[in-house]
Amino acid sequence: MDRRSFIWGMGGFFVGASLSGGAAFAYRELRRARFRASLPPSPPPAFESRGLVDGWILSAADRERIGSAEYALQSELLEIVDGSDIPGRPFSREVVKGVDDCVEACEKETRCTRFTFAKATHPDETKRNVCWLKTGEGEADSPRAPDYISGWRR
Amino acid sequence: MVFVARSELDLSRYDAIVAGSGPAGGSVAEGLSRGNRKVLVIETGGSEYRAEAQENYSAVKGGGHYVGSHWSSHWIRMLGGTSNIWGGWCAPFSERNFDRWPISRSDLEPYYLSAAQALYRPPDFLTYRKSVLDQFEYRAISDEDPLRYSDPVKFATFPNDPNVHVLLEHSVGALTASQDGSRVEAFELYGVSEGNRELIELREEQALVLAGGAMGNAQILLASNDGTRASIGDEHGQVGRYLQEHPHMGVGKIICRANALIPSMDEGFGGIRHALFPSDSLYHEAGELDVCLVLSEASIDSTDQTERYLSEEFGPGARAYRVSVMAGRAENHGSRAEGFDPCGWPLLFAQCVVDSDSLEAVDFVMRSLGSSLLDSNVGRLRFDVERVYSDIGGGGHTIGTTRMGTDATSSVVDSDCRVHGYRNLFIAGSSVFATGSCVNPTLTIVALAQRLADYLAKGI
Ligand SMILES: Cc1cc2nc3c(=O)[nH]c(=O)nc-3n(C[C@H](O)[C@H](O)[C@H](O)COP(=O)(O)OP(=O)(O)OC[C@H]3O[C@@H](n4cnc5c(N)ncnc54)[C@H](O)[C@@H]3O)c2cc1C
Repeated sequence: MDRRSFIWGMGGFFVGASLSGGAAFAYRELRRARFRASLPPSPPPAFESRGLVDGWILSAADRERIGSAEYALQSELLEIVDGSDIPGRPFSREVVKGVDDCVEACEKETRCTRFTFAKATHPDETKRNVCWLKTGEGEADSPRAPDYISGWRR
Repeated sequence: MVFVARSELDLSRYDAIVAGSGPAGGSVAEGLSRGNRKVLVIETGGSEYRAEAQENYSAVKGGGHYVGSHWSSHWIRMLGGTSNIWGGWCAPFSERNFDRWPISRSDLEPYYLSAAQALYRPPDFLTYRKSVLDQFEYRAISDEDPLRYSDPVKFATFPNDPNVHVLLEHSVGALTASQDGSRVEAFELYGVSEGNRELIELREEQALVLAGGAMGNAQILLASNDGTRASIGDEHGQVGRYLQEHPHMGVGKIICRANALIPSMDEGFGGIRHALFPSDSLYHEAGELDVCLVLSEASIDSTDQTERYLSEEFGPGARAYRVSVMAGRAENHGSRAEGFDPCGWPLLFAQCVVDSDSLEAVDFVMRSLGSSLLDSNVGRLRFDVERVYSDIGGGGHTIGTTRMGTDATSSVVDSDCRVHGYRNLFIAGSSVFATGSCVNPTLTIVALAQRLADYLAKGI
């Protein structure tokens, strides 16, 4: 390796971040185990009352307005729910720019009866901004999954 | 600076011998030269990067959070040391960061000024502070072109400076203490290309300055062991004990009103990065672990419902910033050396663990920032709490392996950077930091090195 390619390879300020991923994972497990063992069952109240929506620290008024039709994604064909990972059989998996693209892709594809989009904030980097187009009917309800947005044909 | 060959060298003619040519060693040499002292800088590496020297002499084993290569890749063996790849971010430690040091910010103040000058920075960032939010203060991190201490043109007084000689491809190895243990009387000089060793005796008045990086300084001391007593400087098992790194993590996003968090800075500041720091009271509540929140421009994701709402709420001209953290500490919890490198020196073993206090401090400060933004209705914070616990990196901030203190049983050097008990042995570099603050270390390394040079120039 010559000096130039070496410096190129090293030049990032956050160079350490990529090197220690594995160790961090092991640590997270350890930390989780510790948490379970040592934390009282109820979360610290002071911040909890503020409410975390996808990590955003918001007021109750914010939450109400975000949930309102004014800011919700609109689609004539699809019913869209924030914070849901709807079951179904995926037939396509693509990384897209945002949820709008995922909605549009599903609207255009007749086979698509439902979709799931993983938000850019998803903790698993490999899933961020992934759009799954799916087939499937029936139960559209799913457990709350804040890292996803899903939709189904009305 | 004048490059010299071993054959033409009379080691007894120098006032000081410095091991290492990075920002620490370079600054000590420069300062001594200004005080009209003659210095020899001994550097393992050559004038170009060579992978072989790097692999042979900068190997470190790692446990805990950071793999071995994390440490070796932040400890570069060539003329100019790690400054050949550093990023150039500079910020001074604040008063509270010296709480557990035997010196204070005011002792370093004049040297911060000259260090900023030596690194080609306009000095305004050293003192600028602005309270922008309840419990948070804005400070600028200087981000100018990083000075390479191998650059013959930019490296100020060095070109042709007859006071500074540089011997490349040689290392300072094991030190030998005098019979009464009050000074270092000799050191091993190792020639990298031939693999030859010589014992060099130090004159009574000659000073030896270790500036081999935080890993290198610990290594030289741990190598200084004749088998009959503890290694030099390690009489109380302190060498390498307090190795620290700053955990780095990307932890969130802010959407706020235009001009709310970032003051409009005049051009005299030069290139800067923006950062928020907790107030003193928040810092104490956070367990006296400092947290630096670096804000970088980001875009608003208009496909995200919440971001769409916030951009209207705080518009027109709402701004978005990514928040990344440099925080507290990751501290050594393991053994310090294990095995030997090709020239027979101890191979370092770092078991550096990000302690839960640091993670909790980040968690607490981030939530406090979220609350302050909400209460003042200036903006909102998205806190990616998962990433605090899962995406921990580092900055190449290798700190604390020979820390400063008043007591030899809990530190390695005194407030003059002299190894406790050895009157001619000194250390330059972040290894002497008693605690690590949360900002990039090099400005403080240069300031401390200049202070040490002043001290030596007066005293030799
Ligand atoms: C990718 C990266 C980005 C960084 N970005 C920043 C930043 O933005 N801001 C900041 O403040 N800091 C940054 N740093 C850290 C910065 O590079 C270091 O703080 C700085 O270089 C340390 O200076 P030093 O002189 O103490 O050690 P080094 O620069 O490591 O120099 C030590 C020298 O000593 C030599 N040596 C070691 N042992 C011996 C021996 N026994 N005999 C002879 N010679 C020896 C080595 O070969 C080396 O040349 C960064 C580091 C990296 C790796």
